[in-house]
Amino acid sequence: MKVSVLFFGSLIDATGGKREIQLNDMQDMDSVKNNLLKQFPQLENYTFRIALNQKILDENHDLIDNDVIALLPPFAGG
Amino acid sequence: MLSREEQNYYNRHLLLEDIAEEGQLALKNSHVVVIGGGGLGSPVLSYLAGAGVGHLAVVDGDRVSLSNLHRQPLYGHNNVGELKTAAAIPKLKELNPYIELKGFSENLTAGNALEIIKNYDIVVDATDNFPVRYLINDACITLGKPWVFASIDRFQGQLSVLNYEDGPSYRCLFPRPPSPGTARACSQIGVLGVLAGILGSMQANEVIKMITGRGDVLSGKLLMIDSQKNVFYNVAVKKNEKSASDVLDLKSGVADSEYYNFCSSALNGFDEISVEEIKRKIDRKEKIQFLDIRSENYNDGFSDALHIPLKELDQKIDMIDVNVPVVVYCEKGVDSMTAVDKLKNSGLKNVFSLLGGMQAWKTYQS
Repeated sequence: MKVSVLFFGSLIDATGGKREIQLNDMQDMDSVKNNLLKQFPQLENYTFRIALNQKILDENHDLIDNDVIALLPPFAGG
Repeated sequence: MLSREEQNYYNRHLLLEDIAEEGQLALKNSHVVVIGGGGLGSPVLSYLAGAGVGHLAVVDGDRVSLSNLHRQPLYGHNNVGELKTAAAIPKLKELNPYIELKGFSENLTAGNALEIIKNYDIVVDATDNFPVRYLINDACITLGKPWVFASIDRFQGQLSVLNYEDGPSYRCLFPRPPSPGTARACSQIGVLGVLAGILGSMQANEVIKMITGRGDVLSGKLLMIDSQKNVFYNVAVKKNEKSASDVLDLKSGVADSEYYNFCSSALNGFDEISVEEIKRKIDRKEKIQFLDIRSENYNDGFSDALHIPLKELDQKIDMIDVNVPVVVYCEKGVDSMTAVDKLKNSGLKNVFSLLGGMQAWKTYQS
């Protein structure tokens, strides 16, 4: 499946400045996670929640074309 | 009842069908406390005062500094060095003389949180660090109060209304604080001034919706904002009953250090040192190199302290004597943990962060 991944906040540092990427041939959320960690190993050090189509998910989930995944870290500043 | 003057003052609100006299009276009877009078607090306080929140309070033990002004229009140059509460209250009173204002010139701690928050209907989190954010969360759950959360990171912000009508809390959203060094403070990575204004204004808007009962409250959702890309991205958040069991029971007397430890030991654990331990070391005349990493040199801490702002630490690391134990301090003991991490990564071994920072030291001294 072809999906988009959005990055917010400090995660943009981990992706070398990328706010959004496209991934091909993704079966489920676990395959997305594995792909991202391989591509951006620094993500391992960050705390974030993962949302699929604007809903935060904890468990694995099958994907369909045009799904949007977002990685959301907690912000600190005020 | 609104007086003739108040009717005039609130004229544009009274014209709005969804506020009108009923909503204006609800605002007049409401009690709201804003934790932090800084970047977010400045617009929150200004707009809530203008909106006519009848009983409005601000909690902040900090003083106004020059580097605050670009995003804190509640203050001016003439306020630099003043307590934020002392500077804010007269300004807000001038803005709206028809409301009651109260300033708590202290920081929110595990010791005073319940006592302060219990008298208010809604809490606004306008703070800049995780230990106090988790503390607000736990205090609001303990007391059954809703709170409006916002935080900013350079050009982006996030916003949610938490613990509102049985909705999710901050611990449902982020059960664990971030790893050290990955979510940094504005003093380190910078912040677009107007972004604090946007997020703070949106917090005030949520408060007004909650009080007047009109509109959709941002509960069960996290709103992500990217001011550079004009992105408003809403994400649904579910309540997680498990996270409720992580809430610390503030009624049984929780120490502040529990929050600082919780937030600093997320990944690799920092070496922190308490103010009591520092005092013992000084009394024993042990050799310590104090390192002040705040952006401005206040000269208010330890004698002979070396001053290197955090953002210059990488370049000036050679100024530090590697043969003497180093105690790093900032205002609250948050940025200093990042500094310790940096120094350790550069090979220094005997490095500690002052737990609770200069604020804890000053409180201890008095």
